[in-house]
Amino acid sequence: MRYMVIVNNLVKRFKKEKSKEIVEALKGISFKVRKGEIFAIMGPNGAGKTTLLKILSCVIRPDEGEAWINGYHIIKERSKAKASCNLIIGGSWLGLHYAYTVKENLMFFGRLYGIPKEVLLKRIEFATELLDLKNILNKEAIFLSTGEMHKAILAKMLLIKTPVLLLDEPTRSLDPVLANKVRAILTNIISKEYKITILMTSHQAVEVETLADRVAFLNKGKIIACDTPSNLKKKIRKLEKISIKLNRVPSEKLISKIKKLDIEKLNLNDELIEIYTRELEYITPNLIELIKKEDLKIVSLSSERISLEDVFKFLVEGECYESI
Amino acid sequence: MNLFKDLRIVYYFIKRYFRVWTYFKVNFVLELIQVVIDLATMAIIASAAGKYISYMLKAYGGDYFAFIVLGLVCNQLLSVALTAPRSAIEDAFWGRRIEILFSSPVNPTFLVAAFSIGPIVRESVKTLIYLLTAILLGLSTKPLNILSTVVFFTGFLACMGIGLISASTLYLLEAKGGSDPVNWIVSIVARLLSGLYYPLNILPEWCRWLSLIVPHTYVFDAERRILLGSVSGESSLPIHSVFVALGFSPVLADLVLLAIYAGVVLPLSYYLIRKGFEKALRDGRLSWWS
Amino acid sequence: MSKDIVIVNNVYKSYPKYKRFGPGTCLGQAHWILATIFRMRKEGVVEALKGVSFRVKRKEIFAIVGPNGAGKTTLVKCIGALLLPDKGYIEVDGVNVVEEPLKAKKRMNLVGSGYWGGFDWSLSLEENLQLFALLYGYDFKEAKRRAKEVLDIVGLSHKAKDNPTKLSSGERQRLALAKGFIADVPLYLIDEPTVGLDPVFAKQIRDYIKTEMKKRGITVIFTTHFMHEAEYLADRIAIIKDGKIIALGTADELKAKFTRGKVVEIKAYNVYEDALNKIKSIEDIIHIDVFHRSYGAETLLRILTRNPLETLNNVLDILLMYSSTILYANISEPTLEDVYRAIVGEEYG
Repeated sequence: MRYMVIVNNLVKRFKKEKSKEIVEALKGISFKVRKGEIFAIMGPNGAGKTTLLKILSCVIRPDEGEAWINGYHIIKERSKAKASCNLIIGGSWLGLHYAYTVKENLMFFGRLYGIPKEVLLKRIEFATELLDLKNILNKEAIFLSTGEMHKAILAKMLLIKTPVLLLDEPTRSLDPVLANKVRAILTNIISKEYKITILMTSHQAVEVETLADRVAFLNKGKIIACDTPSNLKKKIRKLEKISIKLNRVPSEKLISKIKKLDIEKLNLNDELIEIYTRELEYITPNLIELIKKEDLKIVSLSSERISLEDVFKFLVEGECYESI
Repeated sequence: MNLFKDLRIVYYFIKRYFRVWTYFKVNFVLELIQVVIDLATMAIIASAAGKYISYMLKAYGGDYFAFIVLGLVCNQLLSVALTAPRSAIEDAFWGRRIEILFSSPVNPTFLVAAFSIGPIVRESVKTLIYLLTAILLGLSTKPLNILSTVVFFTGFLACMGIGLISASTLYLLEAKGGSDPVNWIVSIVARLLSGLYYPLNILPEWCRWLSLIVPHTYVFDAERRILLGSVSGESSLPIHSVFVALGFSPVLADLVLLAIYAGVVLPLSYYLIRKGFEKALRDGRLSWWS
Repeated sequence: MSKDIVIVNNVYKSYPKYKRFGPGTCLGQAHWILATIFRMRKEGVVEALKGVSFRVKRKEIFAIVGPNGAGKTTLVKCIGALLLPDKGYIEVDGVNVVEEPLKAKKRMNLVGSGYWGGFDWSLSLEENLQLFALLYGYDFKEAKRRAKEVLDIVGLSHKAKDNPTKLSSGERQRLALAKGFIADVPLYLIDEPTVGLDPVFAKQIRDYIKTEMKKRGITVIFTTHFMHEAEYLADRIAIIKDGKIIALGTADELKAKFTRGKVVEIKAYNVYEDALNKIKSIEDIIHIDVFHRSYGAETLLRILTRNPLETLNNVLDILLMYSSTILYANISEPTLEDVYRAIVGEEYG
């Protein structure tokens, strides 16, 4: 199957209780997620991200439009679609029964998905080691601290290996070290080893840049951009910059080779080379190769790149950054 | 403590409680209908069985229907005093509001009491409707007087005390999400042995000693004597005989005993609930973790 | 009036662990008789705070950061009079918090704890905020005015009559902050001010805290997991780990103390084990964080080093030797997050 998640023109309306107004949370969303891809969805609060995830996990029914998870239609083949996806909401208290211990909870959720007991126990052991759950396995969920609760919820990701994983802000409320660990688990284990397709929402540009293959921007119920991070960065008018100072003045030969690269602007000042470009990640390797070939040493280096946060601001606020 | 400002807080709690109560409008109406139906049932039972029991009800005026209705009315109001404090705290606990409320500069015991007013007002409204319906169905009592109000109020205070002790078990015994030992014992005794549905003469002598544990017994006995029967009459509780021998009426006995009950229970409950909060603060179990 | 608004001195706090007899016994559900007899048997303690001491100056914005479970929440709750420490002394605005909790609570406002920030689902947003204002001693008129003002600040006036249940997660967060701004108290305790907020709104909130709080001379103690937020907002930062404060100071002080050097950041394609091992063995390197991305092993290295140039050239040479493609290279100042990782994280990411 080429596409694990196909979404076609989803519309969802909510009726405001007292005023009888109708609010359109999703106004026709369409996208496709390839197998094994990590697909991120970013957007301001209230854009419809949570609604979208709930529709995909078959908790809410869309008013218009269709979606398929793992090839199953979310309305017509609901149970099969549900069995193919696993929804984990990070940073919240949703997802564990308060009166049971962490271990009992994990066993329960595992059994819900039909995982045999021995397999489940082994996976719980694995998750315990990875996420350091040893101290909390026998603690009742109601008395876990924030971080412990979030770790326990994320442990479900390692137990239930449905082909599609839906994550709502997985590293919310996690400290940087643990967040990094979780991201590493997502890329190395869940995506690479288990080959699970991941659909996640996030507010952190750094996280999305590190993890995602493609990003979709959701704003006010519509997808306003959907592409790889590098392509998205090209949408802004801001230019990226790399400036290198060498240990001696570069030769004419080197300068002409540099000029042949796809650069917008070049500043030369004795040993200092300043390059403005739209594609920093294309320029950098070539530049470095050229420099090393001439056996030059780098005395100082700095690069300015566009972050996804800049893209986010541009798309949401329509702020166009002036190019230099 | 600026009383005016605190009373304003109480207004909000009542407002909130009514919002909750009337949120489901159909349910609200159904509850009121339920009241009427319960009453009709009682009226039917009373008219069928009344004449067989009335000989036992001499001290209480002989009218079985009035006997039961009065008992039920008092019971409803006393029950709310028993359960309101505990349900107030539990509501805040499960709704995760308790930490924020606790962190505000208001005495937590006052907050518990304020939270209890909502249910009390609600039950009073229901009780009023109950009484009006009963009157329509033929209830006749002597008019309310100061004595009956005083007796009831004292009994109510005693039950509030028990209610607060019951609330304190939430933290002292960690008895959440179910019932607690105090409420359990009191409700069992009150149901069986306080003379709610039947006069205490039916029960053997030793049972009547057990009935003395709960305030309900005294309240029912006194209110029925005042409003239905005669203030001075033969004793029905073992403790009455002492007072009667001294020339006082059993109603006075009930009142005095209730006053002692309340006087003991209220300070004890205040002490226990403060201890409960202290324990919660020490153990970190005021709320769910974060 | 002392210079310090909060004094925490040698605070210890540990929690008892209760024995468990089946689901729900810790809550006393159903089997309270057994539970009462047996559960009261403590099974040991969990030490949350092991001798914490620090002072917060007036009008300061103070951040407390640390790994989950390190004791941040415990510490903030102890200051906020929601927990009784076992040992130690806590003072807020001259009031001993342990001995006079009600008086101390008048001086501070706890924001952001609890799932809905402690809001009641049966009251509208407006009414909820009015209630909080009343709890802090304002009269009706003033409470109404403040509630309205505060809703404007967080941009939720259009939902004033709605229930808290109808808000999205970001709006809920803003509402919790609204509760914070409602009372004029000298100390705010804010738990994760911008968690769950999109970057645009998060910046607005941070700017508001930075300008408004400063203008009104309010001291803010907040916890966060965003190091860049701590760096941007806070005058001083405390890093707490395993119940102890392991670092305290301004962002610059912490960087100077723990990350003597600069960060070499390199993003490259096709970086494999051997290349990484060689890089890790370079001298002068204080700390490395390695971030992998799926597909084609795109790797980001953040190398904290004493000798950035030497390290940069070495790393580039190594990577080129192993045929990696270098996509991005930069030498920059260490950020607070680098400090955090260096102190709290494991060696070599």
